[in-house]
Amino acid sequence: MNYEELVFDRAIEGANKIILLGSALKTGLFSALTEKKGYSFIDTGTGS
Amino acid sequence: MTRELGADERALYIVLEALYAMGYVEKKKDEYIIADRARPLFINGGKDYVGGYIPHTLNKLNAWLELPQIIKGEKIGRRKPDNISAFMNAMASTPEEDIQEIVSHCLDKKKDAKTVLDLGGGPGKYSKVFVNRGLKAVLLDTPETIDYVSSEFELADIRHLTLKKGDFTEDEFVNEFEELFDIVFMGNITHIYSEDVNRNLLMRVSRLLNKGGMVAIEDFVRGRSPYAEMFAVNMLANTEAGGTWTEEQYRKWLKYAGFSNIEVLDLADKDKQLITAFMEK
Repeated sequence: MNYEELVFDRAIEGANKIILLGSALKTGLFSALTEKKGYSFIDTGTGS
Repeated sequence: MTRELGADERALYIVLEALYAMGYVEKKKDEYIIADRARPLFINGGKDYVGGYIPHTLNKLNAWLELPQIIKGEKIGRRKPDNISAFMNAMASTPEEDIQEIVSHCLDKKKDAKTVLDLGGGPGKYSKVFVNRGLKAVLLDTPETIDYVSSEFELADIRHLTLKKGDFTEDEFVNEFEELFDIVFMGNITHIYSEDVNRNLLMRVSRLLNKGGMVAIEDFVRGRSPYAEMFAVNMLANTEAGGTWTEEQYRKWLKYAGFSNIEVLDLADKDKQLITAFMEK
């Protein structure tokens, strides 16, 4: 076998991260965050 | 920001906070900005840039999630990339040094080459290197791909590079050429198709070559590439009959199409192989 042994919890976490990053890229999130002004925190209505 | 991206506010908040937790986004005063470590990965397009192929990876994962149905026998047609931009950017993310190596091997094998046909050449990375090495190149791809790459990858006005729209899986495509070529280059093509389609494609390629002309095939060869078996799963999920093929299968197709002097070379990182074969002089 040519692949390193799969560490399942790490692999699952890695898959989640790739999907999150891919989604951010596909929706233009990173590009939007390069604007000089940045973006203010969002009022979620939760008081956070 | 929700307006600019057409995004849902709750989703944006949760995602931004997760990206902050991962260290890809920073908070300064009361603003989110991209972290410095994230710029070369997702913005800059340099050697560390992964933004070219991650969106395409996401598209591929959609197909992999259908594997349970596929294993049970559900048939799929070839999936057309739902986003040509993601697909072409992924194709264009092949490291420049890998492309230089492959073109060098081609030109070592066919030193007198003056013309090359780049079949399914997409973003034109190989064609451009061939042109820079002094060859005249024709890049053939689907009409929608040519329309996209001619502007987005600025291929339209490159001297000695001709863009041609066509479908090389159809017999008629051979008749659309008035010239013959010294090299036909097929990078990452054969894994998309079945044995029958590949055999017929190589027959057509043989008709497009000058005497002594060379076909060069870059792909994962089963038994030689450590990634061939896993890549075949990708083709199972994304194509009707694609896969990865053994050296013996390539040799059989090439001989059937009239090629000889067949060689298989492991590329430097051994992920893939380059297969070369010649028409008689």
